[in-house]
Amino acid sequence: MSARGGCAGGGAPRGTAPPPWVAAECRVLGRDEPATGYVRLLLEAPGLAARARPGQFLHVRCGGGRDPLLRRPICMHDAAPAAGTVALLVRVVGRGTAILAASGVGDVLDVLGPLGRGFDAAGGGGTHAGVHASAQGGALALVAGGAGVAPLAFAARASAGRTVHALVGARTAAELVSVAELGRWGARVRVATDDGTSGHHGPVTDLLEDLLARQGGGRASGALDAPREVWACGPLPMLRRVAAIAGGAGVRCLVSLEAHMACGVGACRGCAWPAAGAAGAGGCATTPSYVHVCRDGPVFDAREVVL
Amino acid sequence: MSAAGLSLEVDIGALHLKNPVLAASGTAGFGREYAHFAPLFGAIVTKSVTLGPRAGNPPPRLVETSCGLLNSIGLENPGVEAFVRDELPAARGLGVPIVASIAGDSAAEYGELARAVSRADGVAAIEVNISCPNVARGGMLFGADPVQAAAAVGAARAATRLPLIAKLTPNVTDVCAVARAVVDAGADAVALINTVAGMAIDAERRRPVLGGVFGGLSGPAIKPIALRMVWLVAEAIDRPVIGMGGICDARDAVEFILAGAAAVGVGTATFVDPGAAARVVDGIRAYLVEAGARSLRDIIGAARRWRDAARA
Repeated sequence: MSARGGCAGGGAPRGTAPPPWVAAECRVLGRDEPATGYVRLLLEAPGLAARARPGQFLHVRCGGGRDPLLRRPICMHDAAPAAGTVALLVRVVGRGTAILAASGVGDVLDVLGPLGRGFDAAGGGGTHAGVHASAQGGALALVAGGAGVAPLAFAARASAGRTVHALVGARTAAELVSVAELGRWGARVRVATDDGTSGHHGPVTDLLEDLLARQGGGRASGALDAPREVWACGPLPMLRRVAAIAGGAGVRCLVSLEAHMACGVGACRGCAWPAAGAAGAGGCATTPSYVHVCRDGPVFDAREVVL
Repeated sequence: MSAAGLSLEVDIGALHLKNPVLAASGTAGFGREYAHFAPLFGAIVTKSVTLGPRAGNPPPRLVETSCGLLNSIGLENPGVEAFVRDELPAARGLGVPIVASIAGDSAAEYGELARAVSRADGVAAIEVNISCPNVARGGMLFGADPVQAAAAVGAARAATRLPLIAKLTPNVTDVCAVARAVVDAGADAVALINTVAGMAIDAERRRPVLGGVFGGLSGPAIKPIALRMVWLVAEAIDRPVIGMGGICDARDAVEFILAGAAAVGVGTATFVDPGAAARVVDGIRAYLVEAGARSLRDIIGAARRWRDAARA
């Protein structure tokens, strides 16, 4: 990786200093196809790897021409500071991601990052840049839908010492990613597929309901393994359901959101998302307010946003 | 002449720039979002501010189109008071001239806004963004009509001694008439083009893609439109023209300068590459050296003289 410059980017809407980011050219060190429709890229990125937090993203240029024009925000799938590498999981959904997925070993990707606020993998209420404060520690339930497993696998590996329940959903068995890795990192993995080809036959949210019902959750539960927090990433309908289930059980819920972005650094205000709360779009229709996925997220407390 | 000794300085009225590359309004936030890259620009035109805070349009606000970006941000901004209090102090510290962009609902508001930013420390010039609906006139854009455009610029002129740059919309029949009107009303320079009106439709969901339905198109897709309008306006007025619209690299920028622009704006390209403007500056210098030019002034409008050159 060759750093082209650093920047203290972004506004600071909540009194927290925005995370610093760099523009870097990262060589592709490895490439594999862990599941149907997915490509995993291992990037040489020592400066980024040292600062990357689970849930943060890289803003990646696709090709270098003028069409497609914009970068694509991709959540980091893993970061290894010692090795100086960052992994990306790319699900091919359009032309930009198809170009990224076609990258080969030795190619160089133009990236900005690490960007945004991630999950709090530090535990115990860290206040450092890029991470949500006030983690409660204790057991953690991760709920992944499809490509949403990317940041959660990183979160699971970075949550050593916590009991981690990893609930992984996909349309079909061939599209399951990271199930074996999650197990190796000590997570208690359960799988759900829409077609029943692996694990539970049904939505992954069934597994969360089941887990919270069996183990209890939140402060009320005395069980050691009972999830004190739920971190979720996946399609919006799944996130809505996860937030409702977690809310019903009194468990804090963090969700990772996806939005189209131009700048990725808080400048263009393009990735607005309706904010919840008294002054938010959910509270009063005449005074909508928005958060921005690139700068305020992509990870939000589910209570901060209208899902 | 060596590249290092070659001056890229240019004056836009009383606004002196070390190089002719500006960050276009709305594409560099209030400057600190790109703090490390800011000093490389000739100036930063901040995101347009209104009298009160604006939440902006409902999402989705962006969609990528062929070689372009369609946006409907809706002037999201904290309002002029918060801009002066919370953003200007940081912007001033960036080591680059700050051009404050203002957007009003009425001519009187343009005056109030110009007065408010002039009173603040650290504003080098004012951009009057007239691509805004005139609420009293049924939402017609100020910039769509020479009389209304002149009213907005005239109100700002009466309220400030700072250099005034009128930002013109391309969504008009006769951009030269608007350019002449704003110059007559006291603009020291014009900047063009703002985004080109457009829309996108989602065929699967059978609805407009953008939350605001219509948006403004930017990026390389609009460069030929911008180049023509800069060419026309540079002939129509005797004030500096700041050309912009899809500039991604130095070759694009040089084309605008050859068309008559004294300076250029880099906008959407900054989203793609925060270092784009710095590369444009270096590339303009390299072009001048290659062309044997002594200064930027030697090539401003040079393509307008092609008939003379052909005869010679």
